[in-house]
Amino acid sequence: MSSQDDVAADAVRQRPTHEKGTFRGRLLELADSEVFKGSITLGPVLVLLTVFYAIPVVLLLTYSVFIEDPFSSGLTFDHFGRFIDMSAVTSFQFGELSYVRLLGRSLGIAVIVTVLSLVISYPITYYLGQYAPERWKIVLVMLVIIPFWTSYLIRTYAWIPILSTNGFINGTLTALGLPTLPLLNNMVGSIIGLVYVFVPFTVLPLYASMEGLDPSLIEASRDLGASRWEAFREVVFPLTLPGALAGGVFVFIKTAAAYVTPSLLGGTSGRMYAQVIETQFGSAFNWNFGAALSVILVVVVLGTIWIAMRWGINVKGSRGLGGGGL
Amino acid sequence: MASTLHLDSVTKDFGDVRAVEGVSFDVEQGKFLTLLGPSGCGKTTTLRMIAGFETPTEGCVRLGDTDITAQEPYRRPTSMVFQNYALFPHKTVGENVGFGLKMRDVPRDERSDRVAGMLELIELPGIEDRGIDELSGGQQQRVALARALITEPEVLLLDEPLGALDLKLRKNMQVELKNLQEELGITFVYVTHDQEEALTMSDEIIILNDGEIEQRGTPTEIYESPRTRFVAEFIGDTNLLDGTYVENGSGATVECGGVDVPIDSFSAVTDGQSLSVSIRPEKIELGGRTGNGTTVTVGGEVKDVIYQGNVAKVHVDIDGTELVLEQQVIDTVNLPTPGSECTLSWDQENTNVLTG
Repeated sequence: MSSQDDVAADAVRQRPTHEKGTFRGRLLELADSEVFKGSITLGPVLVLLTVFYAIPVVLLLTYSVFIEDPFSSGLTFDHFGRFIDMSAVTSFQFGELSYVRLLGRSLGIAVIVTVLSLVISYPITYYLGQYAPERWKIVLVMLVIIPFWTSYLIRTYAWIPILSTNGFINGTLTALGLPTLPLLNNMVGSIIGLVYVFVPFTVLPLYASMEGLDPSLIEASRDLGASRWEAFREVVFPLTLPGALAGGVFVFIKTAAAYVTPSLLGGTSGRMYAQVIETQFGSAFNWNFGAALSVILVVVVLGTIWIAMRWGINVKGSRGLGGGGL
Repeated sequence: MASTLHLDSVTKDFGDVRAVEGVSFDVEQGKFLTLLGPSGCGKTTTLRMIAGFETPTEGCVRLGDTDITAQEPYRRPTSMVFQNYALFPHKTVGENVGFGLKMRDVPRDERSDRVAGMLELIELPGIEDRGIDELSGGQQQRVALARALITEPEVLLLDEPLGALDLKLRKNMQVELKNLQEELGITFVYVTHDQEEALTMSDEIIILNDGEIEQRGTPTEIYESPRTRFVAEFIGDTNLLDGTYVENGSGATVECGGVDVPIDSFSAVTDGQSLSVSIRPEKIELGGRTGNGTTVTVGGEVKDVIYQGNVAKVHVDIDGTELVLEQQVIDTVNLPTPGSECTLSWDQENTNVLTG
C-alpha cells in the first residue's frame, strides 16, 4: 500500500496519525514505539546496574577461578579449597578452619544485630505508627533519619569515647562504685556499633507496616480476650512481618559483610569476615583468594536468607506474607 | 446472670474537646438499645467507653454490681462488632471466629465444635478454612458477628455494623440481627446514624447531640412525641413552627404567623413566650376530618404537589406559613391541583410542643 493511500485511508477514518515520511512524523512515531518507551525508562537503570554491579560481579567470579591473572594463568578451584581445608575436616580439626569460623562468627554477629535491631525497632515503630499524634509523626521519623546526615565513619568513631575503658559508660560505672565492662575492641563493641548504625534500616520499613496496620484489629483482639503480649503475637507481629523481613534482610546482608565498624570497635576478638577479604585485596595482594572469599560470602548470605524466607513464609500459615518471590 | 448495664454521668474529654458530657442511662439485660445521632455526637465514644477502649474522664460504667470503668477490655464481659468488621486478614474464618476461645485457652477440639456451631447460627456452615478476602461484605459482617458472640458476652456492642452494606442486604441484616438478639437474649448496644435502622430494630433509642442525651424512649415515643427541636428534625420529616404562646381560658394556642396552633395549656411557659411545635406531615389530612379527639382545622392554598410514588407531598400556604402534608396516593386523579383552595386538619394530640 502506498503512503498516499495510507493518508487517504486515515482521512476517511478521521484518525489523527503522524504524517509519514517527514522527519517530524518519523520522530513522533519513534516516540510512540514501545521499544523507545522501554529503553528510555529502563535504559538508565540497566546501564547503571551493568557498569556498577554486573561487571564487578563478573570480574569477581572470574578472579576467583584463576590461579593468578585471569586468562593468562590456569583455572583452579584451589582458592575455594583454601576456605575449607579438607584435611582439617577429615581429621576433625575444626579449630583449624579459621576462615569458616570467621564466616560463622560474622553470620552469628549478623543474626544478633538483626534481632537486636528488630527488638529495638518494634516498640519505636509501634508507638510511631499507632499512637504518635499525626503532626509529630514526621518530626519523629526525621529524628530517625537525621543521623544519616553525618558520616558513618564519624558516627562510629564517636562510640570510642563512649565505650572505652575510661569512657563515658565505664566512667559512670566507676563513679557509682561498680566494676567496669569490656565494651570496646571486642565483639560487644562491634555489635553495639552495628546495631546503632542499622536500627534506622529496620525502623523505616517497620514503620511503614505499622502505619498501615488498622488499629481496630488490635482493639478487636484485646476485646476478644487477648492480653497485650497476645495481641502482639497474634495480630501485630504477623501483620508487620513483611516490614520486619524487609528491614531484617537488609540489616543481615549489610552486617554479615560489615567492615568499618568491626575494624574500629571490634579489635581482634571482634574481627569479622569482610576484614579478611580486605586483607587479601589490600595487604596480601591475593586478589584471587579475596575474590573467592567474597563469592563464598555472597552465596552463603543469599542461601541463609533463602532458607529464612522459606521458613518465614510457612510460619503459622501466614499466607502471602513477605519474600513471595524467593 | 441478669446484669443491667449502667452508665453514671459519664464524661469524656479529648484534650480541649468534650466528646461526651454527663451521659447516664441503663440497659436491662436482653434489651436492644440504640445510640442514635449525627456524626460527632459522641455515640461511638460512649460505646468505646463501655467496651473499655476509652476511659471516662468522669463518671463510671457498671455491669450489674461490678464497676468496670477501669477494667481492661479483655477482662470485660462485652464484645464489640466494629464498623469495618476488623477481621484478622491473616487468619482463616475458623481462626477468626475461634480467636476469643483460643485466648481463653479453650481446648482445640471444643473450639472447633463451637466455631462450627457458631457458623451454623449465622447460616454460613463449613467455611472455617476460607480466607477473609474470599468473603463478600455481607459474609464478613456475619463472621464478625460470630467472632464477637462466641465468647458469650453479656453485652454486645455494635458500631454501625451495617454501614458498609448495600441497602437490600442492610434491610435483611436488620431483621436477622433483631431475631438473633431476641433468640440469644443478649443485651445489644447499637450505634448508628441511620434513624430508620434505629426505629426498625430497637427496644429503646437514645438520641445524642453534641455529647449529651436529647431524648430517650421507645421508637414510637421518639417518633410520635419528640420533645426537642433536634429530635423532631433528626427523626423523619416534620413541620416545625415557631410562634408565641398565648393562654386562652381552658386551653392555649401557639401563634405561628398565619396559623394558630391550639395546644393543651402548658405550665412550663408563660403568656407571650416563644415556643415551637412540630406536626408530622402524615398526621395532617386534606379536608375536614371526623376523629374522636380534638380536631384542628385550617384553610389554605395548595402551592405544590410532589408525587413520590406511594405518597405525595402537598405544600400548603396558610397566610404566609407553609405546611407540608403527606398523602397516600390511592388514585392519582384525586391529588389536589396547585393554586386550589383547601382545608387541612389534624388531631390536636399529634401536635408536639418542643421544649428544647
